[in-house]
Amino acid sequence: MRQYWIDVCSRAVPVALLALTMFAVTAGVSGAHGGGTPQLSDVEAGPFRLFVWTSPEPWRAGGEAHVTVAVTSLDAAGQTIPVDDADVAIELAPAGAPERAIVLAATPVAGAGAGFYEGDTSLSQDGAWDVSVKVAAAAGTGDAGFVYQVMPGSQINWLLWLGGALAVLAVVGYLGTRTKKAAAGYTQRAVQE
Amino acid sequence: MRWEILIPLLILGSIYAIGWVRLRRQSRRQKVATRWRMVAYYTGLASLALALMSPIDWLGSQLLIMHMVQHKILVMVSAPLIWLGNPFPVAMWGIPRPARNGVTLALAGDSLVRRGLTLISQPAICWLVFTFIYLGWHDAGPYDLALRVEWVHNLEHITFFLGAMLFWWPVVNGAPRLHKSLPYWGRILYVLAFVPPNAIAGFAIANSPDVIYTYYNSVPRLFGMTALEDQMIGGAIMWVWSSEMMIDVVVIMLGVMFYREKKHKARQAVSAHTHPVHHAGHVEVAG
Repeated sequence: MRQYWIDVCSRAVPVALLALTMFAVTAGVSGAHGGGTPQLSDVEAGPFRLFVWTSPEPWRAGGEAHVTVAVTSLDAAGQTIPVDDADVAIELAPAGAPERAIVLAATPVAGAGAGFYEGDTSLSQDGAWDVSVKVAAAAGTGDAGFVYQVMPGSQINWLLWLGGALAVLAVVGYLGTRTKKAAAGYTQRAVQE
Repeated sequence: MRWEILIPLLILGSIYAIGWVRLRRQSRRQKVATRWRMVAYYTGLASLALALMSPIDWLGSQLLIMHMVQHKILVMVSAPLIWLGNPFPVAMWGIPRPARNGVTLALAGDSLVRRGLTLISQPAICWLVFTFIYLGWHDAGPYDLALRVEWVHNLEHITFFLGAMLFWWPVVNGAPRLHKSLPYWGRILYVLAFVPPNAIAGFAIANSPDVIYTYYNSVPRLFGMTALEDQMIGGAIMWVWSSEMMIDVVVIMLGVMFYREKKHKARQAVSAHTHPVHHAGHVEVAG
């Protein structure tokens, strides 16, 4: 075992590092995965046309809540163009309690095209939430909103279950290997005798 | 940064690198860990990173064309390249001895793992499983759902990739070899059999008068094309890329067949030249 690690350190690490560098260069890494449930599509907000997606589906109390916004406008020819100089704020408040609003300053999505912004938060309670997107850019300001029904927090810890299942598999595999080794040893002894 | 993809790729790349170096230290004449196989393996992993971590992944949620490109990279580029890298025996030398013994025991004799793998790696099953996964995900319902729900999207990519690994297993004849190798003509028929279902699906998508994947109606059309035009080109990519890839494989297989035949004849000629008496005797007996 010790020899194994000596081998690894002296010879293989440079090759592995080369491989890692290759991945890092090739990946051109983007944090965003894209997609999500469309909440607003091509909605007029002042001089802008807004598109909004939410993920994961559904939002749960205490869980992650991600909002992606595309800010676009129409040029003289009627073509959709992205707006990349916008300040985008996402406001989330429980229905009927605007004083408890959470305000997110959305940031441009890394690795995506111009005009895409995103923000993350966690919502404390289930039920209806008012979500509004406020955009300010050189062309003017605009806002649009929708209502999202947040579900109660999940009662099942999937990560724990997955970890437990993997641990059981590992133990079963280990025991199976030991049984086979013991059987092989018994056969060998029987042959020798 | 998508760590859930980067970390497995780094682990797979590192294990292969360790195994490759260890095998090369034992002998440079062995054919398990050769330079071209290493290049194939890392190009395969890099193509996985490109498909899942580059802007292609993000753009796939905005354009069907890019989503198709992403899927084609996963199933038509990454999977066969990784198999060509001969990953199993090389990786076996890259893991610690106890783990290696564990894997060997799990695959030895009549173990459950071996029986399971032998069952699912039968060429007909590999073909059917991949074709079912490939066509099934292109149905409008699952496809739109994958775009909306992230874990379904991840499941789609995982099943595409694993299905493609199954599909390419008998074609590349990668280790562990649990069945008798398919003859080259068999491999040619195997890949050609995939062309009609793929072409029909691609043609149907490209020629549909309506937008099939309605999710794309809800995204801004920032690239100067409508959802229908996007779908037309996306369907054509599906149709042409996969069919072209299969034809490439057939050409390569034919090339290998002719090369082997030529080599076999040359060996026979040398043998006849070296042992003329034996052959003369053979003729006499035959006569």
